[in-house]
Amino acid sequence: MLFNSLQYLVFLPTVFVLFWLVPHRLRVPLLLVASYIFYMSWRPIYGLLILGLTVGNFVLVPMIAKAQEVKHKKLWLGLVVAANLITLAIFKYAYFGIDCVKGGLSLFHVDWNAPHLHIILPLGISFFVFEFIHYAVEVYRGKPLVKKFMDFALFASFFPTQIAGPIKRYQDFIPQLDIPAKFKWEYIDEGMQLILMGLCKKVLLADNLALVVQAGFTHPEKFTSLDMWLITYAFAFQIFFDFAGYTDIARGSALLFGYKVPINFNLPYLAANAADFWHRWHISLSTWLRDYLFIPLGGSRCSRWNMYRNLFITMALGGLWHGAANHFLLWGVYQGVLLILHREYVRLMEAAGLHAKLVKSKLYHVFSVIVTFHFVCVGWVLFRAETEQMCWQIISKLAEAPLALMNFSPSQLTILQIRDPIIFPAIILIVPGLMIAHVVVNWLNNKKFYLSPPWPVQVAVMVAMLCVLTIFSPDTSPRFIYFQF
Amino acid sequence: MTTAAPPVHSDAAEKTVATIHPELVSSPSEVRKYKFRSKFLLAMAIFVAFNATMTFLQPIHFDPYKFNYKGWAWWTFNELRHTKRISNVALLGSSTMVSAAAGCDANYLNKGLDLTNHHQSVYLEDQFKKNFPGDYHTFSLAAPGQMPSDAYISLKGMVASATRPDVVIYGLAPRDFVDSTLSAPGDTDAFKYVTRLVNIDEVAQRVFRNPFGKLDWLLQRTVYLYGYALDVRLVLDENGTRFLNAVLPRPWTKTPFTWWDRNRLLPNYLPAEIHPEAVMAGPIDRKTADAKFTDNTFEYLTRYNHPDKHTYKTQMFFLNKIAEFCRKERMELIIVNMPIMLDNIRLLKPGGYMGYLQALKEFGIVHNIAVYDLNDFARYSRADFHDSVHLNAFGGQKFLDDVTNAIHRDPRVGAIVGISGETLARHKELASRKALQVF
Repeated sequence: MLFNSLQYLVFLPTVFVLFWLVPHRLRVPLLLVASYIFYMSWRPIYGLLILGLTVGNFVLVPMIAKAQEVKHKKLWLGLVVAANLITLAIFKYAYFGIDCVKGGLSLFHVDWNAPHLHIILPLGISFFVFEFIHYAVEVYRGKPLVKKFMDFALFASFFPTQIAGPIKRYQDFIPQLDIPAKFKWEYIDEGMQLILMGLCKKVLLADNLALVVQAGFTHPEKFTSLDMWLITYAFAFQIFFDFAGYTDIARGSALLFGYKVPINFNLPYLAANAADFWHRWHISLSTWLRDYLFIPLGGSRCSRWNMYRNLFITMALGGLWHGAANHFLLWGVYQGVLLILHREYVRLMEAAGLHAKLVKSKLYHVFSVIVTFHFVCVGWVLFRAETEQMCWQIISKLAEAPLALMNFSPSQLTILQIRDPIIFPAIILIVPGLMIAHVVVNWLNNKKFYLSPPWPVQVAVMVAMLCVLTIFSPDTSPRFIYFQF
Repeated sequence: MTTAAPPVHSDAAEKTVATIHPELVSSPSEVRKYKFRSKFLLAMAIFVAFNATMTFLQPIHFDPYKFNYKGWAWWTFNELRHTKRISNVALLGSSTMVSAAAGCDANYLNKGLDLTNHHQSVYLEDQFKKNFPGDYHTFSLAAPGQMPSDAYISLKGMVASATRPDVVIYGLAPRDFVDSTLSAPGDTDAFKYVTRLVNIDEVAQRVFRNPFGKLDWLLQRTVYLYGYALDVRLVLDENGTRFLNAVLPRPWTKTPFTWWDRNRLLPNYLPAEIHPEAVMAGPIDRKTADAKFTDNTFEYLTRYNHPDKHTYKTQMFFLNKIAEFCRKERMELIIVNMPIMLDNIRLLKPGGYMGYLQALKEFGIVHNIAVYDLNDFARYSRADFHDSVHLNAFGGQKFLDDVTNAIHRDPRVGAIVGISGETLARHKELASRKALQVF
């Protein structure tokens, strides 16, 4: 069931009404049933997968808490984490693993007749497996266990965050389930605003930009270097609005039941460096990677080179988390290298005594934002390109841009030739518009406008969004990009 | 109006939440004053009121012929809209009928035919003129993949928007009823386009297979902006294009970007859209036709694999609707069982073909209409086919001869066709006299 479908338009209000009608003790069971219906509407058999993992973790994690000795605790933790990761590996990385082994063997001229598997990636598996691992590690670190099975089952399967996050923390989520909250109109107002905003991001922006991106990334040879920059910018905004739109709908849906789930984005393209970008992009994943991968590896409280190694491994695995393919691994490695280079750059500037001065300069900040955005965009090419060959083809095209700019003429832009669909030439106006919108939203954030906007503005914006969404009917919209992860 | 303050609980859980999300657990001092119970409800009320007002006033007239998807249906009705010819014979059918009629015409006229603007059967017209009195103009509503549901809506669209034919010849084959790749009636591009021209309320219950399809249709009927969403999008698209043409004009290049380029670049964007010269039928000789024969057994293994009772019943329902509509509009419906190869029939489930033929015959008896089974295995050989179901130019000619002969042999239908021809001839004569008087 997609958030942008008629099914969800019926499902969500039904669950919402039932939730506020039933007594508090029935709310968690109700949401649990609804979440399983939501999940099983795609492939009923995979309901057993999420149920199995839930039961397994609920039974095994208390063993960590019960173990008296540290080595026993570690053993149980290792077992739980391994069980979760093996499940993830089987469903997500089996093909990739076989391909890698086959590729490796072929180097030694060994022709291996690989088994033919029929595994369909269960939706959201990467997200709920990470939530289980987080729970196990936190219990290992001494945090309390979840006592009620229903609460625990809902933590993993809660339908608004089930398929593409945000990755929740049980300490934040479970206590909310115990509050016998009374219905408040604010839940509807704030929840629906988020849902409408999320749908607009998806239907109006991400889906339209997708056409240009699809063309550019499948036929880069048809476009010039300047076109490819515009197409890369378009993908940067497509993936942002697609995922941020999903997160808004997830947060809004959760808020309708009075539950808060973490934010995932904070104007990522205004990041002034690679580290700042990861504080703003997919925040729930980056904090997970920090807490359960980077820190256990040694974090930053070790030698410089060990810290760089930790960063590199964390980001490479973070890349692989997005999908079982070389280009995701390459993207993760690229992000790791960017983070390391940024740390080195800061260290060198500090050694030269320039860093403090530069950080204060507004011009330097603007320059940093622009440079970071472009580095992130190059990363998106690695992320999106369908083959490695195509990826290098696009990157080499991007590298030709300075030369093309020196002899610029509109005829260099192939996208100006295309008038059907009209989104092609329109991205020349849309992309700068979206960049400016980032700055404007940031300015409004600083002015705390969103805390208490005037009610006529809120109502007008909601009416406008309702109209726009009705016209650009969401039922024809494709699925969210992050569903595949 | 003020919102009620939520109860404050002093248990540990609430304290934890209060620390993490203080906004969720507000104390009485934090009670906020609202002018309205809910801003969202107010926004919804305004939205509903706006839609109701627009539905009542209908202030904007949208052109129903404008459509974002120029598929077969669009081109067919585009020609119907602009043609001044009055057609007294309409042809219905899927690609089996298209390939027979177009292939035959291409050879008969000895020229390439662009199927975006060739919607007639010149050969059949001439055969009718030879065999029956008067004049004949055909208009072919046949389109690839046309199901009885599409045929019904297309015929209704023709009568509502252009002209009422006297005779309707509908070529059917088993795949029109048992094809497992058939979508729900409401999903086809023909249905989506033609429903902009005609009302489908009376068949709406049978059009949508799942409840969400019905809900979608209901929303289209009740929410103004949803019902006219495509029209508004087209207006925005037109204005956007105009604006961009002014602000960012298309630079001159030696090789401008064409529809063909777009198709190569975005194959999934409007995939069934066709374009002038995109679908052509050209003259062909026997040798080439033989060489071009394609074995499509594998395709039909899939298509006949899971015959669906629901699809069969739905399409039979629409076939009945066609018969009822023809009776109501005083049009003579002629059902023709299209020739297909025995190899193709063997792919059907045992008894499937006989069951289909029986159903057609019963249908003919119930509605008192002519049903001609022209699938004569002795007469049509492999040399008459493109593949196991589509007749080539030579087979098409044979088929149209057979249609003419069958009507000729049938005194009742033959008389009706003859009257229709004479009426059209008189009409044309009157029209030409009037034109002379004007001069």
